[in-house]
Amino acid sequence: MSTAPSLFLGGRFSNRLLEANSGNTDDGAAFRLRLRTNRIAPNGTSETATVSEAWLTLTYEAAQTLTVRLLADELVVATRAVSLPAHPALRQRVVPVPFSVPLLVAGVERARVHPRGTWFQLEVESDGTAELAIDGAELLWDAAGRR
Amino acid sequence: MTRQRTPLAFGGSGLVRGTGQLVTEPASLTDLRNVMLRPGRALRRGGLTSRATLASETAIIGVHPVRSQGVGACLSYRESTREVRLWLVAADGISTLIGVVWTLPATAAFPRVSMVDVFNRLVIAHDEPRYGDRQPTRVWTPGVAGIVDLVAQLYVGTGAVGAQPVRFRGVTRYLSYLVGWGYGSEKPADVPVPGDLPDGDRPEVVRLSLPDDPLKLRPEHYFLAGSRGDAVLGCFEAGGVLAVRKASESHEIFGFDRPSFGIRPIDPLFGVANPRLGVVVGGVNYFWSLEGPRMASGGASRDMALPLDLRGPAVEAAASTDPSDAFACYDPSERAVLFVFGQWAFVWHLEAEAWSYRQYGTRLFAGGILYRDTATTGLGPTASAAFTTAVTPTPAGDAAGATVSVTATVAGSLIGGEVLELWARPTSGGTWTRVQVTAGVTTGANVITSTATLLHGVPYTLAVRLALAAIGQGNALGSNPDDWAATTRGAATTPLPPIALRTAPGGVGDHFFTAFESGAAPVALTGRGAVAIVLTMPPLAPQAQLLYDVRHRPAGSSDPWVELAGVPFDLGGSIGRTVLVPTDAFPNLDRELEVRVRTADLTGAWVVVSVGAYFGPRRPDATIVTVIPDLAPPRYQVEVVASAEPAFSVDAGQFDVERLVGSTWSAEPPFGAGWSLTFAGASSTAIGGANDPGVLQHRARSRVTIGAIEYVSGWRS
Repeated sequence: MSTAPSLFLGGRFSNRLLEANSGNTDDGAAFRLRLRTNRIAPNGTSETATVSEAWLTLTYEAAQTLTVRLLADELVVATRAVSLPAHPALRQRVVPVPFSVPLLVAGVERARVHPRGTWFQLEVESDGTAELAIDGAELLWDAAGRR
Repeated sequence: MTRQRTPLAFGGSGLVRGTGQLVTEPASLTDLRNVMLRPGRALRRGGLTSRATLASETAIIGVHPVRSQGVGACLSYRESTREVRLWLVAADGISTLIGVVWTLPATAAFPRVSMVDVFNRLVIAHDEPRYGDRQPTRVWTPGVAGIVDLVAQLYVGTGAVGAQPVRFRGVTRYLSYLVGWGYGSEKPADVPVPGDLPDGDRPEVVRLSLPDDPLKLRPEHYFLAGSRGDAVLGCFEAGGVLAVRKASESHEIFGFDRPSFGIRPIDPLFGVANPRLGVVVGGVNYFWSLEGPRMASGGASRDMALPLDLRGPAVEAAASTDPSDAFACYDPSERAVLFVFGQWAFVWHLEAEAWSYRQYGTRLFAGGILYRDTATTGLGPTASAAFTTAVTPTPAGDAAGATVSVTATVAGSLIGGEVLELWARPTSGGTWTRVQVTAGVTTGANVITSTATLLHGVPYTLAVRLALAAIGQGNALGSNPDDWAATTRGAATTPLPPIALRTAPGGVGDHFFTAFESGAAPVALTGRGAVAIVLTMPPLAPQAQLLYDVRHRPAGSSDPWVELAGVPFDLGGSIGRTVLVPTDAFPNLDRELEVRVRTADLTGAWVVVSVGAYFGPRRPDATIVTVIPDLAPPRYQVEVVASAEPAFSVDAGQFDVERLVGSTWSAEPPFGAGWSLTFAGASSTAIGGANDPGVLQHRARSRVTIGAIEYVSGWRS
């Protein structure tokens, strides 16, 4: 009788037998988690919206840093590095990520405004080696008129 | 207007790249990398951890379980010798070299293999399209030394040459039959009919063995799948049929015995892109066609590629990898099918029925399932090992772990590849741990020495056994040595290491300094009756209760030792902390001191550290200089303040007083010559003076002479 099957992998240029889903690196090499949502048009395809914030629902324990990007109409309009402090236990937490972009007049920042567009995407990336689950996100937006 | 919220549930729909934006769910993703998908959430995937290193090999080219034995087989390739080797591996990383499967010709490409376990045998085919370079199909029977050719006489006509090695391009299992493809027969070129070709290279032929013996092939038991010369690349048992897939078409073999067997085409468009890009999970054949991934459970296949939009914006996996290196495998812990293209993989999550990408940190070439916690069958050594003796050398230093060397007697015939395992667990309880594995076993006495993983000062129960790929001999099965034969077990107590002792900061060498002499006591030394000893040893098991005692006698004497505390102190395994040894009972001054440590169960000998100890007088607490104004010339008095020293005889000679003249300290007259000394209660007071009113800086120290030895304290200004 055999029990507890595990996937083992072998390398083209390596003599090491690797067990999958074990540890936090690929035989010592860090790997990157990345999620990018499909495009959504929160205010409809003929209207624009401004996105002020994203609320990420995460489950994690160890300290780590996420890179969160907001794309408006397929362009990255805001990038935020989100530092997650360590917690004593693996628990779910909600992390706010505010977005704003500078309003430049003659090259000088005069104000900051929320990114505006029709189609929005959210991208979350982590290249740490800590355990992380992304349970979802919420985009907070306001209607901003016709495009 | 109220700020509005749009929820985005990550992961639920997986990758959806090819669908129009107006119909995609907010939960779908265009990039989803290195995750495990769960309903409505995405988790960072686990990594890859090395479990075994196959020494001197270039690559691992095949991983396959031998289910009848609960172990795994691994094929490696050594480029320098062009050898393909077979290893027996356990999921915990123990590997045993079985032997060389093939030595490839110099013209052969990097090897690809096809393996199947059937009827307690592992059959290995060389997946080489060039028939001239293809090596014979080989068979390994667990527990039997050597790897042999699969031989058969598949041609019985004119010029028959008898049984010859079969050269299948791939092998699999269907019902109870061994299935091989890509080989016709050993028929030579027919001399009477010039131009007739040999029959070996028949890529469209699929052969079946006899149902009760996978090593018996009959000439007439074969199928022709499609047109001649169009190679069969893979066969997959799914949905009650055997799907026979070529590069761009598929057939299926149906039936369950020779009268009911038949073959028919089922798909004129879709096949498998390379022989290793198919896997069967839960009766469903997942395979990667030339148009992307598809699935079938018998009969027609279904497209799975649409969400991936493989022909849309660049997908790194498809763009950057040689598809001939790609393979498919099943990951049971993630319930996912992986199509791996070098460092990239497309992952089909069975539960979520969704796709994700995966980017690995290393370029992968083969994958398969191995099993943990295996019970055993007849596989394993035929010889056995018995515990004979154990030696526990004293560790070289306190940073080294404890080791034990066990002599085991091996009896019986060795079949090759056996390893000797040493297991240990604390006698007082705990779990068994395999602490060493040694190859090169010979009949008779073998010595196996644990690595430095044992704790100091702990009684251990030890066990030895012979094993092949973590499967023990018949009297030592499983991973609980308590169930093994009694002859496999023995006991030993690991010794304590040399104990490094150091004084509190300020101490020198192996001297202990009392609180009296310690200029900057780092710990709460109380009164004059304590010695700060820091015992430094490696970590000890909680159950390794230690005792220590301190005993003393006059230095250089042969007087009986006087034990300081009467009974040993129980350190409770706490080593590395400061221990205050009360010395109130000490006669002062020069003593020999021994600190002894042993295990609380008294099974180990005392570990003794002998030191000289000096407990001298304390430095004065303060000096007070007071000018006496009514004398001419002015005089001053020096008051030396010190705590009471009941153990010392206090007299004028106990203190030295010096004054600073210019930059030189010079002695004041000793007490008794123009000086006066009073002693009252908790202080000693010396009063003296000199005719030098301009100098008011003095210092004093304590001094005592015992026999011929004078002891002095540090100066106090």
